[in-house]
Amino acid sequence: MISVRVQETDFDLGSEVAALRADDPRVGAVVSFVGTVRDLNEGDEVSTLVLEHAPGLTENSLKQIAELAMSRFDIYRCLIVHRVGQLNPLEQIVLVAVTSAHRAQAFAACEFLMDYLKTDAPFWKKESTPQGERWVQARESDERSKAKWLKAGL
Amino acid sequence: MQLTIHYYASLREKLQVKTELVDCPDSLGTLADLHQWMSSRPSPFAEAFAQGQMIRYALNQKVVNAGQSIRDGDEVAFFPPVTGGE
Repeated sequence: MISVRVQETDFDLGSEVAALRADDPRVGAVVSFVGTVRDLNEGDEVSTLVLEHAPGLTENSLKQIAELAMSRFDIYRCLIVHRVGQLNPLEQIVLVAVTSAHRAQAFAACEFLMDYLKTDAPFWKKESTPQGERWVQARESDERSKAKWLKAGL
Repeated sequence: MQLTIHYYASLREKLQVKTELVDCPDSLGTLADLHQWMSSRPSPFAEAFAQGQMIRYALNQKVVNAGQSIRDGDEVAFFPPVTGGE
């Protein structure tokens, strides 16, 4: 079972996890990841971040990534919540959570989801610093993280 | 053929266009062909789609590769490498 959401409003980890594992006695493991806005990037203070997405396309992409995780790992449910709009340091950006019978698959699936989201999901960050506005550059390290799954045959 | 083309993020800012209806040659078979054709359009398209510029693609609301075929009436999106997540 897959749930993906793109929203401006903040999310609550506790209630999202509670909903994810609700009424599912098969579940022995819940693994979650929360991404937040850091205070520093490349030496300049990040004053504020604006997250852009492509309505329709972005949700489809997240669904596709989640479906990939469901097919590659032994997990029950999969949740992705990604915020957009203006975000400040310390704010939550993204939540990825999975349930499974045992922890190994849940940990792996959660990492897989984030590695794919970082390289494939249509979101773009623009930073507003005291020095002016700039678009965040995609990182080669993210491509390498995704590549390791492809190497592993996933 | 006629295509609806969307531009996102820094690419949209470079081009100063969010969405446009484009008439392009029927001979264009794939998104790679379309990318190349975009580079033959006047500035700022020429620079934005020049060789070596990192551009990603979507077709009819799905992220795809450059080799994907295009047809009359398709909805295309061009965008820079993505930077979601933390």
